[in-house]
Formats: sequence, structure tokens, C-alpha cells
Amino acid sequence: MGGRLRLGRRRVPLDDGDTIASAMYRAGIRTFSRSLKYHRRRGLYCGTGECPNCLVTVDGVPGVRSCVTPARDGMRVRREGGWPSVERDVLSVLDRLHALLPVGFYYKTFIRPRWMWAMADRIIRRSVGLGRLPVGPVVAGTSRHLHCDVLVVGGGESGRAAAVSAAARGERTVLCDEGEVPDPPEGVEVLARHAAIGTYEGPMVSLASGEGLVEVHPERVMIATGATELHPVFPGNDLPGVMLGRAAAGLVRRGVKPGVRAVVVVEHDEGFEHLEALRSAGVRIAAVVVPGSLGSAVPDGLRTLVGADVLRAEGRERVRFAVLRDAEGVTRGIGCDVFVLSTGRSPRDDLLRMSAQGEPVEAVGDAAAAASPKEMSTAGYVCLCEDVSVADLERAWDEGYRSSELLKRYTTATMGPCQGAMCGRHLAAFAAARGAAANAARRTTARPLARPTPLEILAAPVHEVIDKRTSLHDLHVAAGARVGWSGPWLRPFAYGDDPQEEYRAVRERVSVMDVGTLGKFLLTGPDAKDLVDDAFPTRVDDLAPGRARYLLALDEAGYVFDDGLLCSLGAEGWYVTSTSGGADRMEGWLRDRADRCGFRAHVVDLTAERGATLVAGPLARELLVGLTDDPIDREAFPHMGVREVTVAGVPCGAIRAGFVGEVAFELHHPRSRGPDLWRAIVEAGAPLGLAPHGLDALEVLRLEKGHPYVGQDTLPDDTPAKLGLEWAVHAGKRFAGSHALERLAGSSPERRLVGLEFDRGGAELRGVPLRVGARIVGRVTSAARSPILDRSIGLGWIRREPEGLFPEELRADRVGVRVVPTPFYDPAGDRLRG
Amino acid sequence: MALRVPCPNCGWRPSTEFAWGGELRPVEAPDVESDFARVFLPENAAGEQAERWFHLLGCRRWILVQRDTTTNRVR
Amino acid sequence: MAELWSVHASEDACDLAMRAPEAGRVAPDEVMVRGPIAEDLRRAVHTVDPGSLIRDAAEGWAEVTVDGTDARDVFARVSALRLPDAPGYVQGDVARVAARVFVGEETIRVLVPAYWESHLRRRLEAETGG
Repeated sequence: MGGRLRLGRRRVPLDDGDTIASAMYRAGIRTFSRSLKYHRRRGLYCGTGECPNCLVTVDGVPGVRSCVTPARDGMRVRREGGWPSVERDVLSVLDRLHALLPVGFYYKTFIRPRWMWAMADRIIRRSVGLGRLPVGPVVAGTSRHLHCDVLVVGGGESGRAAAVSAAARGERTVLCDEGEVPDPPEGVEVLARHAAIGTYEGPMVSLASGEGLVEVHPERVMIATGATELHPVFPGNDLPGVMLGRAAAGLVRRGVKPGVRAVVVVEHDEGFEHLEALRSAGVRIAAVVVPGSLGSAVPDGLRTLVGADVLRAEGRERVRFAVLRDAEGVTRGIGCDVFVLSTGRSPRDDLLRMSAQGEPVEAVGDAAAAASPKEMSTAGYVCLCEDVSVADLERAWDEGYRSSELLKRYTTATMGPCQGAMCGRHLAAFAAARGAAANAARRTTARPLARPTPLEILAAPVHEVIDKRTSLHDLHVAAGARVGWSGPWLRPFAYGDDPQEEYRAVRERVSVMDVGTLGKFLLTGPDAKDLVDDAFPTRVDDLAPGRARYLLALDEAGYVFDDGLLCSLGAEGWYVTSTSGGADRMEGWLRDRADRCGFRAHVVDLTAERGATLVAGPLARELLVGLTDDPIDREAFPHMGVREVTVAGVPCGAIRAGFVGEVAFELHHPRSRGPDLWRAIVEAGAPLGLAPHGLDALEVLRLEKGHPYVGQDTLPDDTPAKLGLEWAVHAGKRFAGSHALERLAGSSPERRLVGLEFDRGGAELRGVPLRVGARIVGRVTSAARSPILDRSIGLGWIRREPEGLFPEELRADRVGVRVVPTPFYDPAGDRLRG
Repeated sequence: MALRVPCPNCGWRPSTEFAWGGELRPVEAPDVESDFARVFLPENAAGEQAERWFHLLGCRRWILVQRDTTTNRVR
Repeated sequence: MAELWSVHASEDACDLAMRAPEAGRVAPDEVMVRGPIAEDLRRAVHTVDPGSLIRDAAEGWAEVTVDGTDARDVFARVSALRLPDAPGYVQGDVARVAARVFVGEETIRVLVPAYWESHLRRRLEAETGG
């Protein structure tokens, strides 16, 4: 293959089959990174992608596991963790300052003066980390779902066998592996380079690839992820040159000699394979350390220390001596430049442990085997990722953190890239050795993600926000409207540059507005009236067919959660409208009451089926008269009436109501006829000076009538009394929230929504606290400059003073405010009833 | 990536398809005083409780679910 | 779009309505029927439940079809729902909105409340690149 890597100014030649790490090692690199906290030199250690030591930045992307990533010509590689460089790291002085930077030091230092923490925070952030995130445009990942019978995670020997036998049984089988799957089995869907990052309820397993996410929904899961080699802990265990057997063997496989002179510790069979690999590569074996049971398995001609203990590894920039105590108790320092440890296996069972109890998820092969037993060490680095030593754990324990979960959180052990793969069992063993109870000495909870995953991959299933649109949307856009978000809907806020023009059209002439976003529900059936009577505080018994009434929606605590209109349709039933954002909740409420009270009623959601167009203004009737043969004069169609009216050939259910304070007709029509109706109205309105209005104008218009917006002017625990809407409650009626209101009836509300008049200002006052003197007693919830009244008006809530009265003179920032009655405009409602 | 909820109409679905309706409580109380407890003082059991869930993205009906509040397991 | 009907009726009457060729059981008391409902089936439903409603639902729903040999793959990119074999029906989260799905041999018909039509089309176009 050939080719080269760029490592700083160096050019590292590549051989066939090289990983980035093997090429670097062959070129003489021994320090691959600096540790997180103390900037200790770290070298190749696990060789299988578990530990953090070999993480490098490749082509600007940090956190690449160089020991398992194939090298390619032209890759730009950067080692991380040191400043100004990994070889010459100024911050390595921190390794001498352990006393000043003990475990958890950032919880106890730099507290006063306050500015110290901000500074320390910046400095600490600069000195830790695995590299810089690439800046620039990000391509979102792809995402898809995959259904199958069996998912096998891990394409090694056991995984492959499990997949083949499942497929032979006729099960639809998927096999995934975070690396390559050489010789993929037939009849099995193979997903190579797909890492399983979590198991979830379902079961569902999420796979992350370089392109995106695959969410697999199998009937059952087999975890065949194998085992890592055990990570021994002793002083000096993190020196470059100290490595696990598989790392050494991996280098040899790629034609790289791990060193010249090796000490090899073998405590299980696999270790002998690694020993043989080293010998075949021509590495001089200075000593082999084995337990008594394996003494006879060591090949002849090698210096063997049976039953010796590892005391420590010594060296400065790399290992120079392996210090052992032999079976007779004699301490021996054996010179070496590579110290290989093959002491056992630790099953990779995180994905299994993450899965919910009772789900069909099982482990097979080495992942299911028992972990090799290990003794607790007294010193050395336990968590390589987070630079946590046994001494740190002891200190944390002394400070009172006496369970594996607490030790984890306080020391951050197991919270690094390996997520406890190397050190999780050590943490539990530490707690157990200290005498913690069984449930305090368990391995810490396994949770997704099992592998570090870039955010753009995790975000792959997330797409642009979901918008609801009426059938008039394109018309609004074509008319030049500024369209924006109103809850889940895209709606026109204004059609031109001058919001006052739309406002004036409503007050002085005629206007049209798309209100198709309203929630709309048809209730029919024998108990429909009982349902309405129970679900709402509104008076129902005297609401005749063809009449509408303002509807307040209260929950069982008596709190207002929505408002709208209630229309009696006679034999056809009842028609309920809600605010645009409240439709889902309204439907849920109606169905809830019907279910629980046993009402025989159909709740039919017409929100999508019907559009609604509002024609409002003093000339509204004049406009419509030309478009309909049905009687719409004041006597035939009074205020709050409900009539069937055909307008411009479109059959409409019309309600004479409106929150803008002028004569208004809310025309409910089939959704698809919306554009026809709108165009006809606009055409008929042209000679009358019609201008459509959007949400900006509506805000001012409804505010002038003192009409509160639920959610904007109301708080979640507002009762009708707090909003001045007691008139909307039928006193004495039994309904869902009536007991709650009855209980509150005895006391006066401590908070009220009131009308406000400001000395000056407009919409910018919204949200400003209201004060008496320096005390905050409320907040402005709506504010605007009223063109027709030439006053600054608003709504806000205020608290009762300790003396029992509500304040009347207030301040909003520097602006003087008075509490005034509402409506501000046409209080008698003459224009409305027109 | 969520709790799985058994909708009798649609099958086991992720909780993201639902809105949670809280602990099941009696639909009414005999008087004003006991109504306060009914609304504001749920059992809040540490263990299995009956709950109402609304299947917003599916059948749009209320369903009853048994959930263990200590283990989050759902029946 | 073909005819679309919403049947709101008792459980027994809904069971009867499920005999229509393309029917989906939305809930115990609701059935969605794609295509015409034969007159005798209507009568039968009304007989079993005189209070039943059979409403023309075409206005309220938009139908977006996913067809072709890779229709199921495309669907799998916008929904975790397991599609039944054809002919079948399933309802649930498609592209994060409430959808009703009629599964045909090579055509998957996704119905959503009409206000989400634009969103669904955009999502599917993004997946099919067309």
C-alpha cells in the first residue's frame, strides 16, 4: 500500500494493514498522549480500542482510537493533551502538584473571591481535554429503523456462530460489528462499522456508523462483544511501554517489534499466545512471570519467575524496570523496555447490563463468561481516562464517599471514553474491599452511550421542527405575508410593512383573517349535552340551538387551561372551539370526561377538516351580503348567533363572535374550500378598503378589548376569579372543577389579572415586572400602544398587598402604570353587537 | 429510546407517542373537602400504580397502564 | 385521494365496518375506511348502532404515497413502526406526527391530518431525494 501519515512535521511511512498506532509505533513514537489531569505520558496500552491512551486527532476530528483505526495515506494526525506539545508538555508540572490538585479539588477551591472560579475555570478547561472540536458546517447523519428477529452484536467467533444458527432456523438475522466483518456469513444482514451504542426497552438497539444511526428493533438480542483483557493496577502501570498482551501481539501482527527486551506476565492461557508472538518477532524475553498453576506451561529456555508478585514499573519517560518480588520474598528489578501483562479477561457486558430486566437480551461467548478474579491493588492508576489512582479512591472514601456510585461521581472514575470498560470492576472491588454493603459495592449502572458518538450522528433522527399549516398558507405567502411560529402552527403575522394599516382596516372598514388553526370539535350522541355540561363551567341548560357562548375550560383543580366558544347545533349536537395551541389538550379533556363519566357521546375532531375565516369590521355585513343569499342582518343573525350560511358558494357554519371588538363573522368551512372563500372575500372587499390582518394586528385589537390570551396572560393556576372571568362560570352548577372553585369561593384571590394604562411605551413593556416602590408585586403580560385610543395599554397580574388591597399605582421600570378597568375600547360592546 | 407503553388499541409503543395523564384517581368525591384530597393529594405510591396515558400519536384514546414507580417497569 | 370515511360507532358496529376492503381499526369505537362503503354495509352498521356516524373524512386527511420496490426502506427512515404485510393497517408515529398507514403490495399510503401534509411531503422528499 505505501503512503504516509503526517504527524506534525514528521512523515510516518505506512505498511499494508497498519493502524495509525502501529505506524506511529514503528516510527518510534512511544508517548501517544498526555493524561487528562496530571499530564502524565501515556503509551499504547490495550490495543483493542478500550483505553484512552492512543486517542489522537485525525484530519481535525478528535478522539480517534488510533489502535483500531486503519491508517490511510495523507491522514493528518495530531497527538493531544500536552501544551505546547505532547513531547514537551509544560503542564506536566501538574504531575508534581498532586498535593495541590487532589481528587475533587475543583469542588473545594477557587470559591472566594468569586472571580477566581471564572478564571480557574478557563484555565482548567484549556489544560484538559482530548482535543478541539472541528468548527464549521456539519452534515447531519442519516437515520433509519430496522426490524428483524435476531440482532447479534459482535462479529467475532461466537457472534458469527450465533448469527449463522439463527439464520439457519429461518430467523431474520442482523449481525453488526463496530469494525470490519471479514467473510460475512450468508443469509445474514451484516452491518460492519456499526457500533452498538445502547440497548433500550423494546428491545431496541441503537447502532452508530460514520453516516448516521440505525435503530434496530429485534425480537431478541445476542451480545457477542467478547471480553477485554484485564487492566492490572500497580504503581507505574501507566508508563509508556507497559501494555496488555493483545496490544503487544497486535503490533507484532503488523510487523512492529514492541521493544527490544520484554518482561511478560502471563496469568491465563491467552497470555502464552502473546508470549509466543513476542518471541517470533525477535523480542528478547527477560523474564516470564506466571502463577504456580501455569509454571509448567512456560516454554523451555526462558527465565521464569513462578509465583512472583508485580510490585511496580519504574522509569521516567518510559518503562525501564519491572520490579517484582519473587516467591521467596526477594525483590528483583528486571530491566526491560516493554512490560507485557496478560492477566485475565473482563467481559464486555455493558450492553447487556444496560438492557431492561426481563427483556430477551443475552450474552454469548466471552461476553457471557465470568470475569477473571482479581485482587484489589494498593496503588497505581485505576481509571486511565480520568487519571484516578488508588490513592484518589482512598482519599474519596476517607472523605465519606462510601459506595461505588458515589466514588464514581466524586472522582469521575469510569466517566471517561472507556466508560468503565477497563476500571469499572476495580471500582466495585475497591468498595467491596473497604467493607461496603453489597448494593454499595456493585458495578455502577451501565447506561447508553457505550461508545463516544458525535452529536451530529445522535441528532440524525431529529429533523426540522414540525409545522401545521392551514389551506391558506400559500395564499398568505403569495400575498407577501411575514409568516412565523405560533405554537405548532405557521401563521401570518403581518402582510405589509405597516401593521397599523391592518389594524385600521378592522376598526374602520373590514378585514379578513385566517383562523383555521382553532381547535374544533363536534360532540354528538345521547349524552353529548351531559358531557358538555360536565366538562365546562359554562351555562348549558339555556343555550338554545343556533346560539353560541364564550367557553372557559377548567381542569379538576379549577384552573383555566383554555378558552373558546360553545355552540348549540340542536339535533346535530354541540360544537366546541379551542385556542390554536390548545386543541390536543381540549380533545384529551373531552375524551377523558366522556370515558370516566361513562357518557355515550362521540367526540369528533374537526380541527383539520374545517378551515375558519374571520370577516370583521364595521363593513363586514356589507361585504358578505354581496356573497350570500342567506339572511345575515342583525335580526336574523344576532351577536353570538350560529347559522348555516353559504358564502361565495362555500357552505359555512358561521358564528357571529369575535375577540376584536367589531362586527365579526367566523366562517367555518371545508378545509379545501378555504382558498376559494378567501379570494372571493378579498375581491368583494377591495372596493370597501379591505386589508387582511395577521397576528400582530390581532394582538393589539384583542388587547383593546381586554381579552386575555390563555398562556400569555394567564398563569397555570389561574382560576376564573383571578382572571375576572367569574361571569363565565355558571354559579351553582356541578361540573368537573366545581368542587375546587367552591372550596376557593370562601377566600379572596391573592393575585389578579388587571387592565393597565402606562404613561408611555408599547409592546416592549411586555414581561416587565410591576413594582410598588422597590417591591415587585406583579408582571406585565401584554402591552401595546393603542392607535384608536392613543393610549398605552396592557394586561398584567398583580399581587394583593399585605394590608389586603390590590395596588393601583405602580411602576414598570421607569414608566408609571395605573390599574384601569377593561375593556379599554367600546366597553359597552355596541360596536361588537352592531 | 423511551419507556414502552402497552396501548390496547395499537400495541406496545414508545412513550414519546403519548401524553401522561397522571395517577388514576376517582372521577369525583362526595364533598368539597374530600375533593381537595382527590385532586391535590395523589397516593404517589412507591411501587405499582395505575396511570392514565393519552395516545396522542396513535388512537388518541385514554388508556390505563400499570407502572412501577420504583423500577419504571410497565405492564 | 380516494374516498375516505370515518365510522364512529359501538364496538360491535365497528367490527362490522371492518369488513370493508380497506379498513383500519382506529379504536374500539372508530374505524377509518379508505374507498367506498357499500350501501348494505352502511345499513348494517346503522342497524347494529342507530347512533352511529359515518362521516366523509376526506377533507381532514391528506394522503402521501410511498411506492416502489424500496417503499418499505424509505418508510423505515421516517418511522419506527413495524409495517404489517399487505394488505394491512397500522397507526402511530410517522415523521413525528400521528399517521394512519394503509399497506399495499408496492404502495404504502400514509394518511395524516391535513395540516401536516406539507411537513410529511417534505420529510419524504428529503429521504427519496425527489
